[in-house]
Amino acid sequence: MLRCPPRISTGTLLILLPALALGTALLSSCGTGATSAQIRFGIDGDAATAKALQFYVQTIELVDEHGQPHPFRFAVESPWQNERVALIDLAGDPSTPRRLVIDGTAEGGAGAYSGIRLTIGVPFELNHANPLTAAAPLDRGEMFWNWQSGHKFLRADLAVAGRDWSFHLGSTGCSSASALRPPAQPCAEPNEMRIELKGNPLRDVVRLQLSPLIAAAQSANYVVCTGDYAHDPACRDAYAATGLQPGVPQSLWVLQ
Amino acid sequence: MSWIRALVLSVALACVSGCARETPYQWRLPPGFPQPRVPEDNALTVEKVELGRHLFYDKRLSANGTQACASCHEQSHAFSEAAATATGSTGQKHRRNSMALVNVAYTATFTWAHSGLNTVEQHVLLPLFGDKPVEMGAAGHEQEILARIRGDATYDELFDRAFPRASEKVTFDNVAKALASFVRTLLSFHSPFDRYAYYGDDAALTEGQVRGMNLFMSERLECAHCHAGFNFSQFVTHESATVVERAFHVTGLHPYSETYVSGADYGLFAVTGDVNDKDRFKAPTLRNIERSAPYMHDGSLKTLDDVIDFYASGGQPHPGKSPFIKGFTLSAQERQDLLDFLSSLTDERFLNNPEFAAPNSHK
Repeated sequence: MLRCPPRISTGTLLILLPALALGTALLSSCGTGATSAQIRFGIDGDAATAKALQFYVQTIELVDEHGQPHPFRFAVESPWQNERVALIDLAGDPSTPRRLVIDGTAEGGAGAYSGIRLTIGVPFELNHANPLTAAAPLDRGEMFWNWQSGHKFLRADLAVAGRDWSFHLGSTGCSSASALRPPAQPCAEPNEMRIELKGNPLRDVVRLQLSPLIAAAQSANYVVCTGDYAHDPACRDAYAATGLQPGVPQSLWVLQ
Repeated sequence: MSWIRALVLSVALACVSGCARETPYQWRLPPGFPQPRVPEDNALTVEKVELGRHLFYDKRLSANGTQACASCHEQSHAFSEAAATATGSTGQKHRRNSMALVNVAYTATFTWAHSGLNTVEQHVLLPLFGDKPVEMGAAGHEQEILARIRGDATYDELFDRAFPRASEKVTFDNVAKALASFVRTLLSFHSPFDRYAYYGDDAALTEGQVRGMNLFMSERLECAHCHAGFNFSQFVTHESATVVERAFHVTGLHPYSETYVSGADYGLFAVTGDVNDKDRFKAPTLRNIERSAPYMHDGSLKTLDDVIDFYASGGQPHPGKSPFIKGFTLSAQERQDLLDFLSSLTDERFLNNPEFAAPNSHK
């Protein structure tokens, strides 16, 4: 396995800063280990119940056996991803293509990893711009969330026991948002999901587990949860599965 | 500055060789009225307004081709509709009443209860792309819808004229800009009230209407506290406005509920997540109110008589209720005067203006 050079201390960096070229050379020597890689996504459960399953991923880090995170940089120039955000499309309209991977570069090389950290969501700076002129993959109308001036982070439309049920998650409480004046402050409930999973991220698949969502759909007293996550009983179980509730670990995602 | 001159000259020369003209739209406002605000990136032109009018009345803008903006926003109802609540193109029911589109160029925030939708451009995304419920249903059908428009020679010309400098003309961004441009021109300033208030015509209102107006403005009724200003709504902005009130109110139309009922409409609370915003809604404009029945955010009151009854009762108990809703009693004559005043806000010229009507190609 190719290893990065020892971490450069802040003191060393300060000394090196005047010689920027040298510093860059040192840092990029770490990059010699960087390798093209793919993070794969999938469904765990009865895919037939899923009418639509889509979500945005904004950051990925690969965790090595020492617990150190290494960035996974998104490849650019694709309708599915740019360097800031990627769209995964696990289920949806059968006439449109799915997307089950994120292409990019594992900055820490192709070595042994023991876990992955992901942030599901759209970066705040991008989330509240005019969606009609947004660069791909933020140009997908099904993921527009105009009533909250942003994009859905996770869209799960299921058909469970003959009933359609929808769980749409995104930032809420963005009351100052506007197409021309992005909110000056983060939304009251950003609802970005930060998850850490054990396993080999370059070999295993990040799977969205349907069982917690199906259970949530069965227990929900209403067919839609698109906000008021903390108050609406129709949202309670699905929201708990996301891990966004303090003290409740997420149960939606596995790496296997 | 010479480069600017060179730029202007080169643009002028380019135009000589055949670029279309963008004609600035001339507002027709009562004397001394401030001009509405228009976003810098969507200057109002006659050509955009005309394109927007065609799009507003075009059912091809909905995914299944069954509904246009005008399906729920009918000119004869002041661009609202007679139904209590709206129904989308796929049959899904909306829980709110279609709002009238009157003087929205001066509206500071859109829909019945939203604190962050400040431009018409932003607002039109909701009916176009919304999916809970589906209205026009454009999400996921964008290319199909744009292809229908691209295939139409009339639209080719309308888009060319409206967006002569755009490299790609038939886009949803331009559709939104054109729709917003048309909707901005839906101004109503020719009611009997306007003639009385802004043109100094004492004969424009009857004696009963003047008595009703005074009641409307009185501290006994307090109507004008929330239905304030020239638009009879606090959410007004214009070129010289420096402060816009954040005026969402609890009327007590429905009793306060401590427990959360899934699917219920809690107004602004759904947007801000602040429990203090539970059941807060915007006071809508009262212009052409006689023609935009039924009333309230859920269309639950059928007539203006019902609305007066409701406010006279003081509404249901609610901890956040506006202190100005405290109930009142009216004599039969006073009630008639108040109704007569409200009817003086009806602008027949607005309701019948052919510039706002469907273009011949969509009739």
